[in-house]
Amino acid sequence: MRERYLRWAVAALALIGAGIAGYLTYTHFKGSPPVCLTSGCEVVQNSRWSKLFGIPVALLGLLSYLSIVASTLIRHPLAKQLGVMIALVALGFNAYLFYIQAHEIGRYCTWCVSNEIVSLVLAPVAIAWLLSSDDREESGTA
Amino acid sequence: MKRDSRLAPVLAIVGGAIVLVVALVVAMQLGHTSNKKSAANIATDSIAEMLSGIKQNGIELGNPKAKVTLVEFSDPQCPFCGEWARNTLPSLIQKYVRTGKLRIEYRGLDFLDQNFNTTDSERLLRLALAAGFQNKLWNVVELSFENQGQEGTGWATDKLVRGIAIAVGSKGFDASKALADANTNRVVPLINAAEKLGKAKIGKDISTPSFLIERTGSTKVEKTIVGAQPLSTFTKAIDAQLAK
Repeated sequence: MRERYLRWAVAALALIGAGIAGYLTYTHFKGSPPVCLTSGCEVVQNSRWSKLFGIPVALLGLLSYLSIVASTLIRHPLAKQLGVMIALVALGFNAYLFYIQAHEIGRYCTWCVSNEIVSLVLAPVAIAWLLSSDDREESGTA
Repeated sequence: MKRDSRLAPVLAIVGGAIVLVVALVVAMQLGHTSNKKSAANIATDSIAEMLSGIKQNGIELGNPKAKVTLVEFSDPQCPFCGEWARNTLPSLIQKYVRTGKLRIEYRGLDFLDQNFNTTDSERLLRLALAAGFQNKLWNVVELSFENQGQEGTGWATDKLVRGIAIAVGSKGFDASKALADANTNRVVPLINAAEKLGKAKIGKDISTPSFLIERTGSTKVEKTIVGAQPLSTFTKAIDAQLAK
C-alpha cells in the first residue's frame, strides 16, 4: 500500500519536473524567452551552460523525468532501481546547475530553480519508494 | 538481515548515481575547457559555430535584403556590451539573422579609453574593423567580448589581440594582414563614422550599448534601445517591424 503511494508521488513529482523541463525545451527551440519572474531565465537559457555537447540541458532534463515516469509504470524491480538512480543523478546535476547560476552566470532562472527544488524533493521520495515493498513482490505475484 | 539485503542495492544505486553525476559535470567542464581555449589560449566558446554560414560584409552581418536592420553601437571594453553580446545576441542571430529576417550593423565606439587612460577599446576596435576588410569583423568583435577583461585594467594586451586574430581561424582569413591593417589609417574613417552616426541618431550623450532598429534601406529610426535590455525588448521591436 505504502509502495503504491510512494510510486504515485514519484510519478507526480517527475511529471511536474517534465512539465518544467518541457517548457524550457520548447522555449529553447522556439528561440523565445521563457515567461519569467526575473530577467535571469533568458540569460541562463542563452548562456553557454545551457547545452551539453550541443544538446540543450532542458531536453536532457525532460528525457530524465520522462524516464522516471516510465519507471513507475513498468512494474519491475530493475525499472524501479533505474528510475531511482536517474532521480539521484538529476539531483546531483541540478545541484551543479544551481552552482553555475550562482557563481558563473550570476543570475537565477526561476524555472530552473523550480526544477532544482523538484529534484531535491523527488530524490528522497524515490529512495523511500525503492526501500518500500511492493505487495506483489512480497507475495511473489506479478 | 532483510534490511541489509535491501540496503545493498540502494548503496549500489547511490554509488552509481554519484559516478554518473561526476561524469556529467566533468563532461560539462571539459566541453567548455576544450571549446574555450582552442587557439592561443583564447576563449572561443561557440562563436565560430554561431556565425558559421552567415554572410558578413564589412560591418554587416546577415542577409543584405533582410526586412529589418539592427544597428549596434558598442565599445569592446564596455561590460554591458559584453553581457549583451554573450547573452542576447546569440538568440537574435539564431531566430532572425539565420532566417534572413534581420541584418546587423556593428558600429564600434571608442569611448571608455579616455575614461581610463587605456588603449584597450581602440586596439580591439581597430582589429575588428581591419578584420572587416576580410569580412570577419563579427568573429573578432564576438571573440573580444568573449575574452573581455575588467574595464580600465589594460587587459587587451598584445598577446590577447594577436590571440584573437589567430583564433578567428577561418579559411581565407589572414590574421597577420588583419593585425597589420589594424595599425593603419584605413580603419580611422570607420571609427569616426560610427561616432558621428551615433551622435546624430541617438544623441551627443550616447552611451554603450545602444541600438537602432530600422527598416533596411531606410534611414528612419523605428526604435532606439539604450542599454543591455532583455532579449524580449529586442524580439518585440523586431517582430513589430516584421509584422508591418
